[in-house]
Amino acid sequence: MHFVTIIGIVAGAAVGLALALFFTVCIVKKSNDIGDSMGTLRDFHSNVNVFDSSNDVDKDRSSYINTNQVFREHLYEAIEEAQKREEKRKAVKQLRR
Amino acid sequence: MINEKYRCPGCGVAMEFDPATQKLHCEFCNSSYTVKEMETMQEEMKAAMEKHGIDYTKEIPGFAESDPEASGEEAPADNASEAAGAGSSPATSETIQMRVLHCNSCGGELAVTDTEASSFCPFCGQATVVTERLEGWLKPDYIIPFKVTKEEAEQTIRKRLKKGFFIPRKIKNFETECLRGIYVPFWMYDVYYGDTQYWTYEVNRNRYFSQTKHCRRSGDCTLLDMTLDASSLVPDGSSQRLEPYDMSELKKFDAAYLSGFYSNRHDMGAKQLEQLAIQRAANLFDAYIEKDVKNSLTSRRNAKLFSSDPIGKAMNPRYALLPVWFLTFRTDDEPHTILVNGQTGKMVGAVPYVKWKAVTLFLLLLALCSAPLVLLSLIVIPFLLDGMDPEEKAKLAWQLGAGSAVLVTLVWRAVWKRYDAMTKSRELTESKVTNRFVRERQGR
Repeated sequence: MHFVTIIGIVAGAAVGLALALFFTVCIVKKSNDIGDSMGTLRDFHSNVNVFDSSNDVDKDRSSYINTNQVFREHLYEAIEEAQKREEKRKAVKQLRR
Repeated sequence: MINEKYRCPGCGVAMEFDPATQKLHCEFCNSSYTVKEMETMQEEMKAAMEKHGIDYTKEIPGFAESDPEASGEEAPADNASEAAGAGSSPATSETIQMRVLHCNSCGGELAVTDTEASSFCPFCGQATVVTERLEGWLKPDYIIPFKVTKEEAEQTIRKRLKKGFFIPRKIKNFETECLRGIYVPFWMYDVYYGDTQYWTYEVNRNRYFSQTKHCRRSGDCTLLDMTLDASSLVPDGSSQRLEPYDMSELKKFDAAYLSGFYSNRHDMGAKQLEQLAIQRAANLFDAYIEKDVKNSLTSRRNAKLFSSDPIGKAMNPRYALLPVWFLTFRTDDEPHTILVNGQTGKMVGAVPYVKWKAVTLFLLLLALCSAPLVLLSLIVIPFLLDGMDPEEKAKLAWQLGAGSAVLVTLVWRAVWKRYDAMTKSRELTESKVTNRFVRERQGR
């Protein structure tokens, strides 16, 4: 038997072993680890707003945005929104009472 | 002290909140009232008593506190420093601060820890609310009442454990040690988080050289009603797995909802958890950006975070009590605590697996996965080798070896990630701290 064939057999067995281990752990985890998920962005009514994206910064120098300025503006907006939300919630509760 | 508004207007027996009907129910005369109806009746009663010059505050029966000095008890750790968000130091693992109350119905002694806000008399079973722990700065802003009943919670756990193929029989047929409905204190925040991240990655310039490139992502998000548990006695890992709660069902806090359940007040201030809230937002944001970066790049080779400039703020902290069912049982003297979200019925817990079943499955899968690959190598490679010169044969051997090594490493990382998560979940389920948090309460 040629040494390349032997390497092929060993490689196949190793990949098979890893895959078998992977599937075993997945199946056992599904059976015995219940409710392992945590809150996601969606659960907190949020989506990430990506306002500046470049895959090659050195090439797209012109697309630079002053992000600190944007963050500051968005943060003030978020604080205002949060205050408004809470006031609205309190008002609704008072109306219900 | 138990408040009169949780007593049945018909017969005077203490009423309890029923998750199935969402009403306060009297087991003695079988009457039910909504929290609003009880409040209206309470107001009417107060007005009538005031009209006739009766001091209604003296008429309220309930739990009389025993004299701390006489009984050698220490005063509770409720102090103003907690109001400022500093938080009291929780009871150590060795000592539990207890306080003794006397039941006005039967005179029995009821011991509560320094963070318990509602409990039961162990002798006559009367539900009690320690109202002084729910007043002023300790008063919660919101509450989500229990929707899942005790029976439903136990049924959910039994049904799910019975379904697990790898769960040992003695766990499937567990004997409940105690099942307690506890309102766990949480802080709710609205969190703003933004970041500018620079990532580096490599692209091939030619056969021998690669070039490092940079990519940038700037983004932000506002997370609403992010919950963080405010009790040092409940592990964060367990409480976060109970999410999500449906926040549209938040109600303004009324102690009537506590009647018939256990509850704790917070022992961690809002300021203490602010950084944790921002950290959670950062984790969710970073995971999103990492996925976005890796999905959009043509070459993901060595893609890693190079620099970041985050900005985060946790705003608007609100104190809420959220419902959780805790079920404890023992196998081989090992404690297990399974949690059920008292609103949605989501179950949280991990239990040991039957080893021989897991090994059998592994061997079966090993035969299924390895046999075709080995056979393929035996049949295909000799054909490929025909007519190849030694240099090409060496190259094929190298490609096979390196390719399988990369594949095995990737799969191994995925295996380890899942195995590690499972081990951590089991540690939480077998946590002695959580178990004691449930068991130290007096049952009825």
